[in-house]
Amino acid sequence: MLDEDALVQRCVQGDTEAFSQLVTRFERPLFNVALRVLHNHEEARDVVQTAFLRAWKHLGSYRPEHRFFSWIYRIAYNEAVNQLRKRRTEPLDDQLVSADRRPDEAAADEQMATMVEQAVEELDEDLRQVIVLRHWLDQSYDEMAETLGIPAKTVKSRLFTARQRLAKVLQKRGVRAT
Amino acid sequence: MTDEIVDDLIQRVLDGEGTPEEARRLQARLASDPEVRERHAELKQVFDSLAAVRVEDAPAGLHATIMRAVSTSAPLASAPSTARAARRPFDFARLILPVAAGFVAGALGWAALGGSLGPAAPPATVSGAMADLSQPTPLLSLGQADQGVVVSAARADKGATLLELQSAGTPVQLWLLSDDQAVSLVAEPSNGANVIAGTEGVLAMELAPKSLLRVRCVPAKGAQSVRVTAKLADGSVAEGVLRLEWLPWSRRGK
Repeated sequence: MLDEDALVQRCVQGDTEAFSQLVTRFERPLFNVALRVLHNHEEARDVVQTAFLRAWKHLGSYRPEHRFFSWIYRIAYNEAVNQLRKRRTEPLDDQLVSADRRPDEAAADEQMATMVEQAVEELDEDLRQVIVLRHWLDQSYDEMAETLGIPAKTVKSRLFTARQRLAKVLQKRGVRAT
Repeated sequence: MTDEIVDDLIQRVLDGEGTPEEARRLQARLASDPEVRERHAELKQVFDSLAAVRVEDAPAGLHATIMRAVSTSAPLASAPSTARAARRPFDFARLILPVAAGFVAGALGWAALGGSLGPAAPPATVSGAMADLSQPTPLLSLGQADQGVVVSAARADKGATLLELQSAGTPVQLWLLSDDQAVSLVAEPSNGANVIAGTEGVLAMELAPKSLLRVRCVPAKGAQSVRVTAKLADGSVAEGVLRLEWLPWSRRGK
């Protein structure tokens, strides 16, 4: 399998097959990023599609000294935030308990997941991003630093602050450390 | 060991970023210190709670939808051009030397404005002096006089800077790229310019010979850079950087 740099190099030369491999590699993490911002599957899907198309059209402005994922992550994240601004927001509870949820899922797990998502939603944007990248996209400190364009030390301190705040919110809602 | 060091240790180990030695140190602290146990349990609860949220698969068919759209859309790298088929795709790896040349050209422009650049010169800048430029002033010359492009700048209204891009005797492809997309770039209509793509902080265009394109730049805040890259008729690439400084309108022109 070609590495990311080689794929991007081929994409820059107009190779759609190489781009297809990048889509395969990154559609899932980007979809989850968009989903955490928008809480709507259809809108998240549209955002990911737009982000990839925008990336393809603007490959000329991609700087190879950065990881491709960092670049497209920012495109997708900005796109999702813009989409959120465009939308007239509904009450958070209505968005989270949406028709996307499958009825056969264990109710308790679902309730817990919803509560956690709501708690994450209450975090400031920079804190929310590190939680999403670390816990749901499984990025390392160094990868997060690259993705967000901040030092790894800042990543760690943001993660710590975010987790402290989450702990307080979860405790208020009855989730206790055992 | 201070609280801060203990917290950092707990976090690193839970994140899987700690060394085996750090993991052993934490185990020893957990065995001997109830307060550390409590802090560890609290953080572990957050980890477990976050793990309860599903990481979703991308929707079925998304990949195919994206690739269908991609297949009907040329990348900017080989963007529409009257002679696109005959040209090699844009390769940023070939920019290293032209970038240096662009900086030198920029330095000359800066010198013409009365600025000064030391040995470790920053990119050519349009900064404080910019606020006084009531008329378009040449700042960057990219390429040779007969086939290059000259970038001039002038103060515009309400915090904006007006860039003028003037081509010489041959067509030129141009890219304007704002660092972190922090500068709004809006091209004014021009008969000799074909704007291929424009999105927040990025403009790609072709200039016919002896054409003029005006681009209005509005930095979001503070000082922001705009990279100007020109692909010339002979296939060479030249580049320079303009540093735009947003000043409150009340301070402009002083």
